[in-house]
Amino acid sequence: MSREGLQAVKASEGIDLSSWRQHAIDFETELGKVVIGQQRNIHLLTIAIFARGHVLLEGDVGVGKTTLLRAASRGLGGAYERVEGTIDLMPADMVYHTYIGEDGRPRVEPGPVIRYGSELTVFFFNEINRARPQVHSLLLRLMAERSIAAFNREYHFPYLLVFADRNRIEREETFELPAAARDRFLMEINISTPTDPDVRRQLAFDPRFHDGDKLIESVRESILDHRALPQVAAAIQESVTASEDLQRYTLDLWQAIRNPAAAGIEIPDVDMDRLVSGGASPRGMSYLLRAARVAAFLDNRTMVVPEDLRAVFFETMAHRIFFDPIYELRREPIVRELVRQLFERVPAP
Amino acid sequence: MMRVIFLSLVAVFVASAPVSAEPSLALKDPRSFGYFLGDTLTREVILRVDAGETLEMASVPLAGPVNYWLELNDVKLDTESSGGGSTTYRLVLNYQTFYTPLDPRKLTIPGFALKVAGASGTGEVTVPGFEFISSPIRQLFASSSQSSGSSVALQPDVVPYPLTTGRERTAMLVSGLIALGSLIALAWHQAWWPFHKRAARPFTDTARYLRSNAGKLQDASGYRTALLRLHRAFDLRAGRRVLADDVDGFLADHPEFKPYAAEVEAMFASSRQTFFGNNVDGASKQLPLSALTDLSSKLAVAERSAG
Repeated sequence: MSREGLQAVKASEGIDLSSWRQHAIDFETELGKVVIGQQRNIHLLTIAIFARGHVLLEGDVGVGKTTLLRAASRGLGGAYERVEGTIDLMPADMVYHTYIGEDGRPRVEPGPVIRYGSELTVFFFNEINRARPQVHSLLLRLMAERSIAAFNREYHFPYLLVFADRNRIEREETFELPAAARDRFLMEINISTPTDPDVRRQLAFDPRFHDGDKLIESVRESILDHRALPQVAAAIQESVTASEDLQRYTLDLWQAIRNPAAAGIEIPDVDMDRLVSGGASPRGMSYLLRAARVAAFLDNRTMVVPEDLRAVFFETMAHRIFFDPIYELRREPIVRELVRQLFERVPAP
Repeated sequence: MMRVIFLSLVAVFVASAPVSAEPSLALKDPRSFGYFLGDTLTREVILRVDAGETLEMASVPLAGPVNYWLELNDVKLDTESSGGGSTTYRLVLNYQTFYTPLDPRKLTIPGFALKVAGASGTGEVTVPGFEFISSPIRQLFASSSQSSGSSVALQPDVVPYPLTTGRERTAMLVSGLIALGSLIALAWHQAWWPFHKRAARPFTDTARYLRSNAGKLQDASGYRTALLRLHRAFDLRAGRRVLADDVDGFLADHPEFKPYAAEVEAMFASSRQTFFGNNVDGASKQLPLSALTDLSSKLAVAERSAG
């Protein structure tokens, strides 16, 4: 555990977890008013926030990815920065702001990432797959260590959460995120168009949803105190226990995902011995447990149960499983089937 | 022969004719000669009594040996009322002789007395004895030509005539096959050996395991084993792993278990306490092993009734 983490645990004594659970429910309800038909994704986002994890949203164009993240940022409070991923965006553009001053001399000032110093709470990276790999590399350290070096010194961001989104429609002028960067996201949430006809009708015809800015402004600000969140997150991880049986069950899941054929998982037209070439990293498993503990906390329990693992497994693990190249092209249906069968085959408890 | 019978009948009637108040007795006797060892003789005694008189049953001879060579095989008594209030008793006596005479010899079936109870007291009617001539089957000393091997020597028993049993045998085969088929069907239904491993009866299997291992499962690890057994039964029944949150869906898919929804939910709650809450004692107090066994039996019955 890092020094920061230890401090957080020390400071976590005396935190009223039940009132924080109420805050979390309020947060979900508030987001649910703005982004309708996405209850599950809002719940997952809440879990990620309480697990102090970065989130990548992906999905079609115009399904509300950006709206959801902006609404969450507003509900979270604290300093908020936003960067649009473009092909000519360079790492330095994120750290420094360079311009010619009124006196004609070049100036260098802090850029979007370090402008607010340690107060930065949400760093929202829009269309992340349009940025170059150099930019992704910069994100690695920012996400993993919550620190960055600039102006010959270290900047720390104890409250930072990175939200990113990308659409899966175009492939031109985009750069696939490196595996290392994807592994640093706690969750990769897939947002799709709501299927409920009533929700669809509201989205299309209710004027409330036509003006995005007004809609975001209707979200109550700072429902969660971003300064307390690290301590609360540590307290949750301390208070929710994972029994030996659950640990064994988690290890069984891990083993089964690395070797699906041995676990009896069968997907039509897929050679199960060749399918999984790597992934499901130890960091991924620790993230999974972190998210599962928060899910248990939000469900008002002090123990993790298999249902918690199942609730967050796809979003926390699917993007960490790497397939044989021949199967990568139809990744989406295969990984869904793999995770579905995983929970149907591995005995619990 | 007929004349002999007729004469004896006449003699009896003549003898009893003058006393009209006396009961009348008539006898039908067989021929009195030409008998061999083992032959049977049937005597019929017809006694008519007046109104108000009855034959005392105690005076009727009983079937059984009469003396060392004579056996009374069978006694039949018919009673019929005739006109004027009188009663006719028809007594049929079936004798068999076992006497082995060396030459033709006169033998006597002893007579007996029948008692008739009337208003004035008890009277006796004597049935006279019957004499007949019994003859030897062969001459005393067989000639050499008639010794062993001849027709006079003791012959082997007649081979019994075989009964036709075709229908019975067919019926036995068919019913046997039906019984065997029913036994197999019952074993399948109850998941007995060799069907004890079949997946379609996981609750029956579990119920049997819990009942027969009740002694071994009393401690905490036994309680865990029992819960695991039940979990695996649910998994097998559903074809996938059933978690506590999936119970509603499971009951919707398998409505035969719906009546036990509350108990199934209690079992899953207790399983959570046991496996994920590290609280075996609390769980086993809330839902003891006996309740688990009961639940498994009920689910087994529901499972079998669902087919």
